[in-house]
Amino acid sequence: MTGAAVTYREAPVFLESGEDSLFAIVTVPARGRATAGLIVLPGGATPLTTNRNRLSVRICRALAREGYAAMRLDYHGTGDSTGVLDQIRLDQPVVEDVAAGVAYLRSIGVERVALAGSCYGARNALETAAALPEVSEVIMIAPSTLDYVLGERGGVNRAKKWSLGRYAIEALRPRTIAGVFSSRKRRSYGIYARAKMKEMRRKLPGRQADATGSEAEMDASPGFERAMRTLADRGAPVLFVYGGEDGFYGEFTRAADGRLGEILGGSTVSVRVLPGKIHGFTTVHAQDVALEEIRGWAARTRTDGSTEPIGEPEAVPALDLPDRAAEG
Amino acid sequence: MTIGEQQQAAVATRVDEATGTAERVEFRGAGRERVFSVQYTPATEPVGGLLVCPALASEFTQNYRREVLLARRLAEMGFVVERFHYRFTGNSDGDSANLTFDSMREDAVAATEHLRGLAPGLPLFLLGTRWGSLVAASAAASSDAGLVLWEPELDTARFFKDAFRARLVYDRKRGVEEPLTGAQLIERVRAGDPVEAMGHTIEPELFHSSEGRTLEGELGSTPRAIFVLQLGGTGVVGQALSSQIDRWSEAGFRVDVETVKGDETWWVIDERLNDMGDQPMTKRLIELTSAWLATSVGRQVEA
Repeated sequence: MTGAAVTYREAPVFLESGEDSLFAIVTVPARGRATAGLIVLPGGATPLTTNRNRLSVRICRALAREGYAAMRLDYHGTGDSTGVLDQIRLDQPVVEDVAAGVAYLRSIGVERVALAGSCYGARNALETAAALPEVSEVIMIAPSTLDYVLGERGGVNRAKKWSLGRYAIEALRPRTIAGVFSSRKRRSYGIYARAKMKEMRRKLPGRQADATGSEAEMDASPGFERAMRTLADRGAPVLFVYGGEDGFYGEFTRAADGRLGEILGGSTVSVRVLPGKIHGFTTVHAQDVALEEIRGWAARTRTDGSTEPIGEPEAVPALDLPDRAAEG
Repeated sequence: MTIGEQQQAAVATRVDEATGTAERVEFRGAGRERVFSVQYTPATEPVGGLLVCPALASEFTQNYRREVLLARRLAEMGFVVERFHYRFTGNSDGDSANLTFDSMREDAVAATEHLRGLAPGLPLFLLGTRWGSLVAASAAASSDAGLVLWEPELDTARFFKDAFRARLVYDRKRGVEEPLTGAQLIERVRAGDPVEAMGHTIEPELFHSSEGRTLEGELGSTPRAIFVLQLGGTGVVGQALSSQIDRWSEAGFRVDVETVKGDETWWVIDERLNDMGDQPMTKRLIELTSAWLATSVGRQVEA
């Protein structure tokens, strides 16, 4: 970085969310005030302001270079925030946390706030956008359209695919038996067993038809559909980004063949499918793709077609940081 | 919880209503290489100070919440605690390509001096996890500060070996034909090319600046108090670590050792293991570390 001009200013902040203090970092252009901004929401496996390999840091600083405000935050019970997050569940998004971030950005003069999240972060973005009309748009990277508890997806998928006989064969493998002595493996076995029991109960005669048929397996979760419909009705742009090899992309295409398809047909929804796997950002390529998609969003939101940063060159009202351009 | 007048500068503060402890988050320094830092101060007269030297890459992520929870617990007990992200990593300024072992040691030394200013005349300790143990040892070498080592790396080579092994397993799992072996990846980074492991980039500068460094060599020969915590399913200290502890003991160091049962997959972030601080292993780590530090400064541990 030696020799390069400073292109951003950053400030840590604590935000109130219910009983908890959320930790966040706000990044703004080195000079002037941004009137458009974006909040980056991490997935459940790496719930930190940094994200994997500093991806959220890079996104926020890149956006600031282009004239935007950006925020990365720790959900309650994670990172530097306070509180306890008992379980990460896709059907229980932390809307209050994200709303605190939105309110903060608006308090420093950001008029148009977008949300971008991956996996669990995408679901938080979606639900918060549905709840807050002031959120202008949503970028969802590799979201699940179904409801899982973090870490149980593998178990749920196997429960659907494997017969009881297959479970018995797997249980009797020497490697599986050896795993009984590992707390980590025991935890996995518990997840698999509970998922199968749940799946079997779901298929018992007399259970509600809406939960058993192939149609139910095809559709997105009710919460996902509801939030998507709210945004579609409002005309808020939604961008889906998937890797073609993402497991969640398969879910998404099946859901798109069902009721979700009616919502996706609206003009405000766009879907980008890129080669490889993006979910989890387990490769630098996947991270670069996400960064470029968000930068692309930023470029597209410049409705006046100018190359100048969005915002007016005036003092920041609440985030009173010194200009850093002089340091460069 | 009260939130201070934080929005006025690049500093955020909060005071915990229940414990009276305070947290101050800032980007320390000027120019283009500021360090992200968090200081925890007790509500009562301080009894000692602890600097937390974080791990790197995937290991940094895995241990993050534990370090936060430990810092809060220690502040409740009267310690001043400082956490930071090395320049070129985490939330600190700078490009990852510029990260070196020396830059990390410089940051740790500077943070130690800062901490010394917050807890003048009081016993100081440095805590390092995995790679962070090498940095903590290096930064502590010129002082009499005590050391707490969580699952320490005995040498830098081990870090790269673990990273590249994780990559090999991941590549095989995702069907990469003829994935590069650890030896091939080492050759590549040694030749000056960045190498990727589990979504993290191992830069040549880091590799070259740290090659050949050992925990023993970085710490030097000044006797001091050391607390080693090893994680693992067996509850037994590994042979290499055990030999290192023996050498320190023979050299007059006061070494205490504990094992904490539990599995940690440092390089494979497994959603099933996601530790929000509620895992028994984390609770035990914090409990043992707090108790050892309290004993070291002559305090009773309060429940």
